Amino acid sequence: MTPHLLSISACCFGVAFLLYLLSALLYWVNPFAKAMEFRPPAALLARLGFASHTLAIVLRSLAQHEPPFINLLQGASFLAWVIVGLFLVMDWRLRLSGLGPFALPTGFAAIFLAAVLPGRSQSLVPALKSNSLYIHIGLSMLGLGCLALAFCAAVAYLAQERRLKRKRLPATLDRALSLDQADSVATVLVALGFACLTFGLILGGMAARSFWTGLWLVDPKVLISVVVWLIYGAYLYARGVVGWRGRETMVLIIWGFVIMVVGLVGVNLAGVSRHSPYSL
Amino acid sequence: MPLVLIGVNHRTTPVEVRERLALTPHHTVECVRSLHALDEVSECAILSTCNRTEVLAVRGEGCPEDPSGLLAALLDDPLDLSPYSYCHTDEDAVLHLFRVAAGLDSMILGEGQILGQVRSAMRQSDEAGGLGTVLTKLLQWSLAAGKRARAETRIGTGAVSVSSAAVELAKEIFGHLTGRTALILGAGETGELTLKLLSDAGVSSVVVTNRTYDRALRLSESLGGEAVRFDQLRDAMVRADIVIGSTGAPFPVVHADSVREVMRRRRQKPLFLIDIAVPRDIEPDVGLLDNVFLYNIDDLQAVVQQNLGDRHEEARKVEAILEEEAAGFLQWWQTLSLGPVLAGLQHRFEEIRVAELEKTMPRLSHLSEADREALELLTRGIVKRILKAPIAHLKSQAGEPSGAAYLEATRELFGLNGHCSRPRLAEESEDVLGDPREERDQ
Repeated sequence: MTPHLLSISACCFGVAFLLYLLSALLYWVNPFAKAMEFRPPAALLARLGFASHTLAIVLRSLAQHEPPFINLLQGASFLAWVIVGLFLVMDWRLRLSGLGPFALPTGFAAIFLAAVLPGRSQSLVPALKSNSLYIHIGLSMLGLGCLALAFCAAVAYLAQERRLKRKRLPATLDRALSLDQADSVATVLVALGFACLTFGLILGGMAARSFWTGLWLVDPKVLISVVVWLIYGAYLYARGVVGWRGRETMVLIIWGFVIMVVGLVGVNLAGVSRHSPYSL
Repeated sequence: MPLVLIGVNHRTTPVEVRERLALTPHHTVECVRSLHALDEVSECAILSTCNRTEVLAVRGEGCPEDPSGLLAALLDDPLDLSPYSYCHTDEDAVLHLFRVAAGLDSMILGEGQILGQVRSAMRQSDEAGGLGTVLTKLLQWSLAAGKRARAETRIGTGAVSVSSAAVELAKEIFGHLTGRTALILGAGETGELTLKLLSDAGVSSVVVTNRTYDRALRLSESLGGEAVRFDQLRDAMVRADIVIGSTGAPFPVVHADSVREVMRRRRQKPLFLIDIAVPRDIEPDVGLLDNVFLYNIDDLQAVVQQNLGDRHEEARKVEAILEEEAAGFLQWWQTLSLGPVLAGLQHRFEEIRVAELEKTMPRLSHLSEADREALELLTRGIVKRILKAPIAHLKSQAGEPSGAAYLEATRELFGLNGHCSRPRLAEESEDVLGDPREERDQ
């Protein structure tokens, strides 16, 4: 039964991979299209891909009796699932199709990583299998997904700002997010991501105290997480409390995300963290 | 077919002539009534807007070949309209009406008001009793065609005036404009128009400032806003989301330094500056500041030009849609005329059968009642068999382009022209058209 489930899961994963790719391409064809609107079909492909992806993740979890984000492969796949899922929900409730050209490529990048990264069947060592650790990883992934989408909104903001500054009009079909929309979407997502990250870090700290000995706070991955947490905290303070707006705040979000991704990937490649090299 | 459309529009006719043909709604009703009273007009509608006056009519018996009198009848004093007016008949008239309804014939390509104007023309003409089956259907069809063109193409999208372009751009920055604040400097005409459009789009508070405070006060009363002294311009700009420069000042009144300070005080919240004054009110350098979006009159004009270009491209798609719709209408019309022809055909054959039978019966007095009955049935059967194939063929051709030719040929061959218009036959036609499946089942 299990190998059977796993092979179906792999199939669904492949389908999702293809559909995300096609959807991302369609979102980018749209600005150049004159005759027809490509966003609705792109959104449809994304929805189908998301359904297939959900099935893949559920089947894999059932087969392995584990949450779907334990190793690097699953983590990246789960991240893609969070990014696309969040985008679809927001597009559905708030009509944010202008975020699609940024969200889908990001989601695809994550699922692409999942497809090419090593770490196929790595699992946690039995000693680490605990609920608090699962929640730590899950929350961190969820936070990462929110922040990735906030990054997309910030990029959308800068693209729209650039276009307005250059007085280059959008083709009428290509309705972009307004600056105000992009700004609020980014803020809400950063707030969500920040909350997830905070709880994730606290749980991680608690887990570290019980599993690790020595100075766990100087673990590179922990340090990067703390730096990123501070950057996003600063953004939320500036935006929420002081009321600071505009392109600089968006640049801050982008830097936060870039530092996080580069840092995590770098630490993983260098293998200097006590976190498993096979997990994010 | 007897449809005729005759009219003048902004392309063919100078305003001095157009204004003499322009009708108020009340006047339109009267004119439709008096035209409809004429024998040569069986149905009639008038569309009168500031850019066009068109008479649409279904000709009745004895209508002259030249229908220009229909339009001239609207004039109070006689005038030769022939250099100005155009006249379309049948298919061309249908297509022309559809193009008008879709905004292809409008002064501003693709504008949407015309749909409402066609709708009121339809209402007025109906009130006057001018509409029958054909024109009611035609006008409804034109509204549907116009709506379809707007829904399926971008003929009606994109701002085509400086003020509406400013509103579109504001939406690119702020999304919806509900609850935003607009500040207007001075009182240029375009400025006021832009402000009005912004209010329509949701901008809720309006602040007015002017060199002379009295004038600002007066303006704020007429615009429904709040007046601010000119030396408090910076404070006002801190509160505003959209600033419209519209003064007659010979030099810029908003400088980069002051905007930089304003932006600091508003914590870099994006600010949209619309400079529609000539000479300009806002220093061009202001546009270089972060989070400030400055558009002057030329920038807005460029937007308008681009949108108009887009509409011209879309117009081709609209033409294709309208041709399709016109074909649909003509098909409907043909099925409408099929009924009377079939009824006439059957009536003609029945006449012949009865006449011949009556002529022969006296010579067959030796036949029994049952034989006479059989003879009656036999002749009925023959007529039915003879007509079966041609009727089936006419029905099958009803929707085809050649359908009209078949109908015409049938009328000619069997001399039906007198029969078709008889009202009694129109009722029969219902049975003849009947359910097409019955025909096949027999």
